[in-house]
Amino acid sequence: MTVFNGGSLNIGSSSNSHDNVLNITNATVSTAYLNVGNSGALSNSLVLKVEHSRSGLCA
Amino acid sequence: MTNSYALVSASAGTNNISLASLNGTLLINNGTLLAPRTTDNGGGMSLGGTNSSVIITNGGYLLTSSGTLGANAPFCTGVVVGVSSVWSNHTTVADSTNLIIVGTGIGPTNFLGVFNGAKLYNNGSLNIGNNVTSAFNTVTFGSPVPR
Repeated sequence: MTVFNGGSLNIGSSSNSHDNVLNITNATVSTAYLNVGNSGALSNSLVLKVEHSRSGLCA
Repeated sequence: MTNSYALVSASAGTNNISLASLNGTLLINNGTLLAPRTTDNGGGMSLGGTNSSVIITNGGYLLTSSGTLGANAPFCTGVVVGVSSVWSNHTTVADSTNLIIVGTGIGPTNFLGVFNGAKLYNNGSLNIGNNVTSAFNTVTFGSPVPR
């Protein structure tokens, strides 16, 4: 899984924007900037996870 | 769509993809859809119909200059899934800004997912929830392994 973002990655990109979510699970993400809630934004989330199979090996 | 199609016109400045009606779907199944900007800063892909979706799968390829999922509309979905499936939001036109927005205007509850080895290239910013009236948007990169 590859995601390349050359600019800003904004989760809640303006004042009072709210309840937006970015989930990243077992993925590679490259971004120039990462903002979780810009000025005045509320309740925005970045969720990072690495999950393994039952054998202990990543898919 | 299983074949290649290019919206590019030598004389056109913009090459637009617009899904503005209810429940519209753009399916790129192992095909190619090219809709880049050519000479200006307009154009791109816009999902502005409630519950509309774009699905890129099975090695499909979408080239855009900008993308908006949920342009004043809720429940819009973009999915890029499977190895070799690609959404590239990238142009080299001077002064062009490549932007992906998930939810803008009165456009809450939209979704973008990149799964199962697919790729997303964005040569600009990605805004998740662009306004106070466009809340509860979700972007998911990757997926859990099967249990």
